[in-house]
Amino acid sequence: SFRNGDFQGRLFKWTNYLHGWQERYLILKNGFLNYYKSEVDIGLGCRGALSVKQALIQSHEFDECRFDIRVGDSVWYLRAHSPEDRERWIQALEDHKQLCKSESGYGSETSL
Amino acid sequence: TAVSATGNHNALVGEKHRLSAEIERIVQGHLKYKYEDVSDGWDLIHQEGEMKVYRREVEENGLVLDPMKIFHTIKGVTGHEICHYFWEFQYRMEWETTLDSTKIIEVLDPQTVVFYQVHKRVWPAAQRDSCFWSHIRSFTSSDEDQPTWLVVNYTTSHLLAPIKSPQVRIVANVALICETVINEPPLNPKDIKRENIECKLTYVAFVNPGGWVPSAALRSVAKREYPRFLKRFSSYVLEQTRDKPILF
Repeated sequence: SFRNGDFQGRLFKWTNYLHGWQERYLILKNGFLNYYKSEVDIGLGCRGALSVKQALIQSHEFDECRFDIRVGDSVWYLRAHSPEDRERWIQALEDHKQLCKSESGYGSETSL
Repeated sequence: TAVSATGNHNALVGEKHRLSAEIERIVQGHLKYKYEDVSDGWDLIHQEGEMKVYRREVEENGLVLDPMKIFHTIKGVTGHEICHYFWEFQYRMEWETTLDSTKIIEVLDPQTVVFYQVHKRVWPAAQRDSCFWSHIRSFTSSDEDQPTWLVVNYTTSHLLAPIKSPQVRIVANVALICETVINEPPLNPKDIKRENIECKLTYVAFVNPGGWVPSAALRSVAKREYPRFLKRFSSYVLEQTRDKPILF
């Protein structure tokens, strides 16, 4: 059932003041959003992950490609390639979040 | 840095010197300790705006050894800037109001110096002095994130700083750990403005003033002085950096 909520693709992710926005490969799966340097690097392990269950997904007020994902103190700033792409991502994230909440135990410590 | 070598008796062997191993151990200890939860055994003793001061009451043989942990967020400065002003010698007397004097007695490497300081006497207590190494560094948990900056001050003994009675030696282990958060990053990183940055600071201190001081008096002074020091120091850094380019 969870497989339906999976989503993946390329987004620009804010890194730091030196490297700014960098294109990364993101995979939404099993209650987590993981990011990789590129599709080729997936086998090397993910560079970071956020739990989607508690995440707050916010689209940017002025920039039609941007959206933020917040979990507690950590924030990922993301940019899609187009406004339509952004909508697809936000929809997928919200759907995934609902799935996490409906499937008891998912996204909690018991799941892995 | 404005530090100049005070002699060659500290001859560097590669990047190592006599205190390298100790510094590494203490720094790693602070990094591990920083992430330890404050929900268990810690009391929130003071809260003011973004600042939260926690304390754990620890006494050994009637001697107060309370560790303190302070969290603060300062808007408009980076972690590098906060640590820079905390570590660099030339600014110290501008924000530190509790000293009679401070001097560098040894330079161990470009990131580590040994200080000797004489503290203002608080009558009727004996005068205090301190001797400690002070180390600054930055590191990244991943190349995707902003670097974290850290300064550690740790008591040491030194031939150039013998203990002279009736002066009493302060024992301290203090760490200032700073992370920079960039809110609302612009499309071009060059357009980051001070209003978009904030520094998340953790200040950890184990300080014993030496000699004998009544526990109650010591605890009330600590409760008052740590927030006061952090407010004074952070407003000093804000003032110094306001019109300067951002030092990331």
